[in-house]
Amino acid sequence: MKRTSGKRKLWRERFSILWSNSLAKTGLVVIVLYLIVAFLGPYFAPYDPYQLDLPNTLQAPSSEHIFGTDEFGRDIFSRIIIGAGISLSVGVMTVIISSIFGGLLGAVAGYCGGAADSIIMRIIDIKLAFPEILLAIVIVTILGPGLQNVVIAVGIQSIPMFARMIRSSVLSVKESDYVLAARGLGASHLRILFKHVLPNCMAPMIVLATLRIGTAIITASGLSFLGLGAQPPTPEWGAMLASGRNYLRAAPWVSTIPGLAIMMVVFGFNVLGDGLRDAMDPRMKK
Amino acid sequence: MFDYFVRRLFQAVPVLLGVTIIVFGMVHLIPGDPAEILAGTNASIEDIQDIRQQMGLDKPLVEQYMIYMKNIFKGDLGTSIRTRRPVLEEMLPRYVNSLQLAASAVVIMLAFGITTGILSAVKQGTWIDYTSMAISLFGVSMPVFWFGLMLMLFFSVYLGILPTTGIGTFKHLVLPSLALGAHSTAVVARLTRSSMLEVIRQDYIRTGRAKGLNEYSVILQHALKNALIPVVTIVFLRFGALLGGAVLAETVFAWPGVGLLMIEAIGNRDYPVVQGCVLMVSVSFVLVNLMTDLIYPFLDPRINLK
Repeated sequence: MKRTSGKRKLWRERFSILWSNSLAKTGLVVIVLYLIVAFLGPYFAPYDPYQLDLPNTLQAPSSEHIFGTDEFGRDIFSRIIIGAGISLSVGVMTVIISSIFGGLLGAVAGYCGGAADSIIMRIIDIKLAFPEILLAIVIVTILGPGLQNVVIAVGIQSIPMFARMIRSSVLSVKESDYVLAARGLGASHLRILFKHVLPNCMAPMIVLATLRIGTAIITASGLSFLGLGAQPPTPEWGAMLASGRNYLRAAPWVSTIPGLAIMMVVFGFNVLGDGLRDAMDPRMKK
Repeated sequence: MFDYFVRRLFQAVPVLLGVTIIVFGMVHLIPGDPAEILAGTNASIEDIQDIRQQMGLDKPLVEQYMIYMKNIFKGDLGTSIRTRRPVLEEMLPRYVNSLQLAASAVVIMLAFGITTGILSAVKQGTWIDYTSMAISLFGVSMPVFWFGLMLMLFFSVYLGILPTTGIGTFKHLVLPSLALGAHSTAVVARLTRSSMLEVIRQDYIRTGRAKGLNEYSVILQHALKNALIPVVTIVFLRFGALLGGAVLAETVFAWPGVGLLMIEAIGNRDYPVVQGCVLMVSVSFVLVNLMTDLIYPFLDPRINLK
């Protein structure tokens, strides 16, 4: 009972540090708004995002279409709203993939040490030999284009960050007195790892996950922009931006608005991630 | 120092081998017959047979990898399916263009990133600091392909002072390098600021001021020298990343670099070219990172090489 209230107090303290940071607060508000749009969007989108309206192509923003229409007369506002859900699911799914696999690899490397650590970290080094988007391109080339494959590619691409972070956290946590005490009481390695070590590595994991959602959204939209991700007519922001390229002179809003949407959301995740880092580990605060 | 260099060089070898294994494995992981994939969709049965023999695709995988490695050392990265020219010949001029673009992005990163970072730190808490940090926050959140299009819209479509696409003159280089360098410039600005803030609170800076040195020499001669050590490392690492990450900027501005070649090759299912581009970019990335590690002890003699 006492332990739970202590934990609750710690999280309350962290939240109050986060709330006192005005930039992080802005990020939190942006992300909450984004989540509302992503979840409730389909219910209040004014038009069908897939509905062609050829007499009304490339209409400038107006009271009827507040973000204008695209080259097929589709309402950009409705497409942005539906696209919010797509980019959120891409961001979250990639982070789930990378945190599960990266977390497990990092935990095994950090906890077991020795040969397991060396082998896992050398594999991670090889992955790090590929610049950010390049490995994702390689994976999508192998799997074929499509949103699902982009999620897998970006997820795999982010595994090393999670593995390295969890490894370093595990290395410090595993020497703690309570872990030594659990070992002394005869707890199995699996129990120590999952019950005592990993739960205490959650704070940096949450920070990294928040920051990586933003990066994943940018990378996935970049792949869609290159034609390797979401395929038409999916209202994915990167793909929408790419289709608007050809009408940059006549209808700049077709490309501008999806880009602004990506930037706002990534900005939100970045400042929230920074704020969370300060709140979870006040020593990091500059 | 010598031991450190040798150790670091040897550490790079397994990474480079791993890169070649991944690039080699690419074609084998794509569903279908590797010989048919490498020969292209319009290849005749004889062509496919030729490729199979030439690359030893009927032999065990390990043997195939050995042949692949032997060919790499001979400078043979295969033949382009589309142009029938050697991949290396296709890639080299494109690689030079990518290097040029990455180098210009680095110049922008140094000029704007470091200056903004110093100004923000020196004027901490003023509107200059808040404005430049707000811009850099948006800079790190901005997709490179969107920023490229916005630059094109403003400078080419509205003002008409810079070309939208192409290569050849200095004017052609401005927009792609701005687009490519923006994200890194923002990162460098933020890092320079925090590094400068840390250094200007040190005792030796206070001593310099107490001795009556003017602010100019305190900042530029004493603080900056130490504050730039982590910044230089990041600049080198970013250069490597810019070489590979230029795919998007090159696509937006139709800049004929390795990134654009790779995307065109993916579209044409020209897998030997895709393999060559991935190999070249990642090997360059590893070598730039290796160079960064090797020069680091010279930049900061306090580093413990053990």
